[in-house]
Amino acid sequence: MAQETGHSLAELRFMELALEQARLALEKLEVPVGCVVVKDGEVISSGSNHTSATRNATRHAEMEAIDTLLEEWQKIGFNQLEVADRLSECDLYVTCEPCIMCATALSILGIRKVFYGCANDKFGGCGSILSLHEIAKKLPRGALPGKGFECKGGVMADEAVALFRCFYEQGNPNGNKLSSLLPFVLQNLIDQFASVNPLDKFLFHLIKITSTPSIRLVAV
Amino acid sequence: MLEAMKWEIIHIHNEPDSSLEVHTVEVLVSNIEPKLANSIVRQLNQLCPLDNLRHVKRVQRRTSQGKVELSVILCLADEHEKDTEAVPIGIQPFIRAYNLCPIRTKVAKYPARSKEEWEEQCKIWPTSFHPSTNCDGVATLSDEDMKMIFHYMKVAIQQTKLCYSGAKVLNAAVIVDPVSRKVIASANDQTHPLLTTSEPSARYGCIDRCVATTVPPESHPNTAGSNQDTTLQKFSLRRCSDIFAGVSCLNPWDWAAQELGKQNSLVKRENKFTWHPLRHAALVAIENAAERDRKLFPNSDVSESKSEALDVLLHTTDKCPSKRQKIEEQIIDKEVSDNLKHTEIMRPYLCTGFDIYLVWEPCPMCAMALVHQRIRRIFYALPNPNIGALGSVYKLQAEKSLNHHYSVFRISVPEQDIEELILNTSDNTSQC
Ligand SMILES: [Zn+2]
Ligand SMILES: [Zn+2]
Repeated sequence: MAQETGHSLAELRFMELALEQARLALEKLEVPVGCVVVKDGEVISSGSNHTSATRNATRHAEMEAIDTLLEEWQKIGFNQLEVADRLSECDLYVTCEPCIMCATALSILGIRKVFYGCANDKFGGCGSILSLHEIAKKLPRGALPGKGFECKGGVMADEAVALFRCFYEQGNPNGNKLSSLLPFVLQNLIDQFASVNPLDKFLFHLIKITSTPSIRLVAV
Repeated sequence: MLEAMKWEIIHIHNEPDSSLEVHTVEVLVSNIEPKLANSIVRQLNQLCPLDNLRHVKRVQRRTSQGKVELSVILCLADEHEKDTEAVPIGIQPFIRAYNLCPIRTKVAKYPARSKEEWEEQCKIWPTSFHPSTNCDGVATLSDEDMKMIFHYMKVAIQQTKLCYSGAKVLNAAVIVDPVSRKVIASANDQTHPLLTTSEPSARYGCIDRCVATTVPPESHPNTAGSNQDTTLQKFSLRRCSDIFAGVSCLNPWDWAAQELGKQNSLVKRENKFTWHPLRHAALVAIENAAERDRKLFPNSDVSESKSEALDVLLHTTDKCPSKRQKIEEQIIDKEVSDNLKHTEIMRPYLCTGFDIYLVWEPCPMCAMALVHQRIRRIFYALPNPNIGALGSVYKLQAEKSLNHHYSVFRISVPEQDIEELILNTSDNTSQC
């Protein structure tokens, strides 16, 4: 289904792995966004959204994957230059367009290319709201060696959106796992993806649900 | 201190910049007979009200060679219309009736927010300016608030840690609960490794250089302390931007260009990274606030007990007669929801309601992180001309699509005070 949009097999393979990460997040009641970092044709790190459990809304999949990578490289003893060199040969596959924060971060790190699934109409930093992958154009001339990265969206976007939908369904009254976490989880989802278009109608519904005490959700 | 060197709070608006280069709209205007002005304007206000341009005056008045000339805005021009004189059908009869000749011109799209802006706008077409209705966000602050705000900005500036031997000024972030007036979390940049004192200081000798090139030592006879301190007392912030090179949000791409110390001589931080390109002060402060949240409200227990309560509820409902069941259901329901309400009140959602004090205006990464974490207000002292995201280069608070909007204030701190605040802390942090 996704082949018709003209993505290479490698792209689809890596995006599938990113989707796998997103599914892991879903199992942990986190907003289902996942990513993998690829160097020389191999996955060297992966991550998924971890905002609910950490109470830290900046723990997006990209941040998680980068931290894993940097920790590993520092253990090996790589210095800044060695890390920068390696990052410039890395590509990132992420199921949803990096937000403004993550897009800036990826530029700071000097990553080579970013492939993403669905666009993020609310926070997207790779064209949807701001274009931070082209940050160099914004900088005063000669001021900073601002790095940009190439971007390709729409890789298996339907699958990424389908996961958000699953997230909603998992958030329905039948699960016993849903406890006081639920309002946080839903708020999180609304925060981050409320305007990812296909989700809109679900979210209107979600907002209604969250305004009632969560215990009712379960007992109804 | 001199009267002129006061601390001030400046609200950085969250409307898009109303710079005229970008924000004008095209309208059709026509010269009119002054004696017909009243009747024409009255009719036009009904025929083509300018609802979204209430700040724009309908009539422009000029005097040329002692003669008064009036032009009036007929209607908005159709942006896609190529024929510049094309007039909407609705007002064609009106135009014929008064024998008008419409031409296109531009007017300001948004109301002016300052006198300067207003003067600029009036050069192209007159607008009205109401300083009182353009609430600047500062007017609502009480003296008490201002005191608190200045206090915490001082705390933040003192935390920038000038380390002479490892010599850098770092950005500092302090997250504060303005209701309890307590510090929730604070942090410094952690993008660069901390250096042990044995590291040669020569390569960070920018302060020496600055002092040597800009301030002759004898010009400050009143400084006290050791030789090193004496030197330190004399650098000028304005002339020595070198020492700011280590401020992460100012130079986010510089992490890889740093001189490379031997990695084993680096000071271990409490977290797992000795350095990290993304650990800007604001991000670390958010992490610390989140950690505090998890410690104060360990939610696993709470949710555990709640699902237990639920099990009980579901279990009883299975077996009891319906009347009793209903009552019990209501009791437990109420108990649990009261409990829930209680924890919800006690536990803020992320950093909702909290303020953050930053010495430097944040980069887009940090500014967006603060949107995610739901910070209420941001105060910063020094603008970030390189890549500032709250007014200098980007203006994130004006992005309408974002789900959360904080208020942004710049605190103008006299340079002398900043120098003093930074330098006085160098003593406390000499261990780095
Ligand atoms: Zn992100
Ligand atoms: Zn930053």
